[in-house]
Amino acid sequence: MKEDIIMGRLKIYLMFSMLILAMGVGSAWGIVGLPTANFSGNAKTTAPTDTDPGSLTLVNNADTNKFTTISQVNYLDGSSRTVNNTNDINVNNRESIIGKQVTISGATRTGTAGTTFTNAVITVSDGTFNYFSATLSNIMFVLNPADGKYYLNPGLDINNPATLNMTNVVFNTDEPHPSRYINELKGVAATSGALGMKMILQIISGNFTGDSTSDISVGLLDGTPLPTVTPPAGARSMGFWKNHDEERNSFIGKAVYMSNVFNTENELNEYLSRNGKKTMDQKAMQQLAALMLNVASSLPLSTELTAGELQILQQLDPAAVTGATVEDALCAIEQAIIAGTNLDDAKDLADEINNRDHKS
Amino acid sequence: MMKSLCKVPLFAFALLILLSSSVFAANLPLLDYTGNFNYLYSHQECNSWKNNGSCNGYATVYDNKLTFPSFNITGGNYSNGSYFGDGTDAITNAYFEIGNLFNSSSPNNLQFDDTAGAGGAPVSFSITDGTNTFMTGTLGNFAVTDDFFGTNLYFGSVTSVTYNSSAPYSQYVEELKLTDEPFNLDMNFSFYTGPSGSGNAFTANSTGTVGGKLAAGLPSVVPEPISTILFITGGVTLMLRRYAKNINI
Repeated sequence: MKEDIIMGRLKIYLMFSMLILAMGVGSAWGIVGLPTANFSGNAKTTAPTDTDPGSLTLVNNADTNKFTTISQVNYLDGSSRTVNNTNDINVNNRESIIGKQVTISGATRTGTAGTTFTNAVITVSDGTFNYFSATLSNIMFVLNPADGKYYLNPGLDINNPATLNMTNVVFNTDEPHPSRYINELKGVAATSGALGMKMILQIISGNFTGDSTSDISVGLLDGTPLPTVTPPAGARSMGFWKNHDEERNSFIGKAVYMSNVFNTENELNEYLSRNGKKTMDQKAMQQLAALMLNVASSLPLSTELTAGELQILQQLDPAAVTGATVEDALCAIEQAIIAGTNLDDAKDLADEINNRDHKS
Repeated sequence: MMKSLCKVPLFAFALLILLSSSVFAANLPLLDYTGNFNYLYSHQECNSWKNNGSCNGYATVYDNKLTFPSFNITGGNYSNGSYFGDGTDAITNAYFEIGNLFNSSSPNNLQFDDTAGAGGAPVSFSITDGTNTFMTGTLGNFAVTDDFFGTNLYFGSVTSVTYNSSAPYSQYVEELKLTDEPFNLDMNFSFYTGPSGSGNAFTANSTGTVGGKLAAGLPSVVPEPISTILFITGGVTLMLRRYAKNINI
């Protein structure tokens, strides 16, 4: 009997140790999807009392001028913004969401561990106008013994539906409150309606299971829902995009959105699929179509050009120097096509970039 | 008798965990930041040219380079714990500049310094607003973990710091001067492209966003993950010995 009790307790302790050790084994692939928004500020928890279960809120106090706000947005094309631009000549480019307040309301303590909260509502607003609101669920913080911080949804991954903890999402913009971020988010969230959020809190004072104030070390709103097709590994050739219908159809919408030349998916498809003898501008458009699909799927605009690619870019833009990026090349190619000049160099540059990752 | 024996190791064990947690309160003042990262694992370079100038053959060039195209300081907490947001301290107009970081192939893909391969040196670190440099120093111990809690730099170490007396006044900087080095840079990586998890981060071309803080000094106890695991397994061993002794009685 004594031995049975001992063995039973030993099993519990060993299982506890294995659980801690298992924390070292994470997911095999954790991807967040553009567009995303970072937010920063402070979070507060209150201790449970006889009449109040205690709660989790984000600090937004006009009296003390302390707010939890959107600090950065990261668009579909990979570019980022940390300052609003409500007067951009391109209406689609205007942004006003930077610096707007992020609030969590209705998150009350539940369970016995002191680190779990009920479903809540998360909003992004200027106090009167809501840009974004959603139901935030699965609010379970986990203490990381390595750094002492509390992690919410650290495994956020667009390939794992269990980590998409924001549902019932509502978007708003209007003329006084333009937001390219919200418009892009609306476009990609349409297919599933579920988005993800992760947060890492660093205790400043108090105890997380009671009254506490934390610094939001990381706050991230994730964008893209589950992709229907895995992006190809690296840039792919014009021939690949021409012959792989499923991949092309998965990324053509984003490619057209990012393009200054192609206005519709049909137009991009038409140029991409053209066979037989082609004029130089048709060849350039064909390679540009493939390049847009690469940029939309797996080739970041911030990618630095190789020496060979730079050499061709300098035929289009003599001012280009080492460190020039795919975005610089794309801009030069589009300008050449729009102007109808240096079309052979534009074609060669797009072709060179399209084939950069799969050369023999 | 047996129950009282059980309580002793359990209590000590719980105390160890509680103590380990309580020493992790942030060292103030601290800065919050966001940014973006770009990891270039490899690219194709032409190594053979045709007579007409076009490329005849390509070779894979391994870069193993981690760069940060952008950083944005979003706010922070002063030494008294009060929060300052964007625009309320001159430091929030500034950003980090970090020298290029390099890793090498697995199993060293999570260790970064100024050269690919092991045994490199720290890289440059500065805080500037583009016109005024607030401080310069070096950043070392750029060792990333990639597990259940994501891809994280826990204990990047900023040392050899010098301050620019001509920079705009910043209460954060003035308070930081009163604390001791090294300063602790932590960073959480969120990947848009490229693998992560189970130690696979930074083994292929990758992009994403980063966020974290620069805190004054390291925690008073620095429990690297392996040390925490040793605490736990040591505690289990202690209990096993006590139970074995109890059985023999």
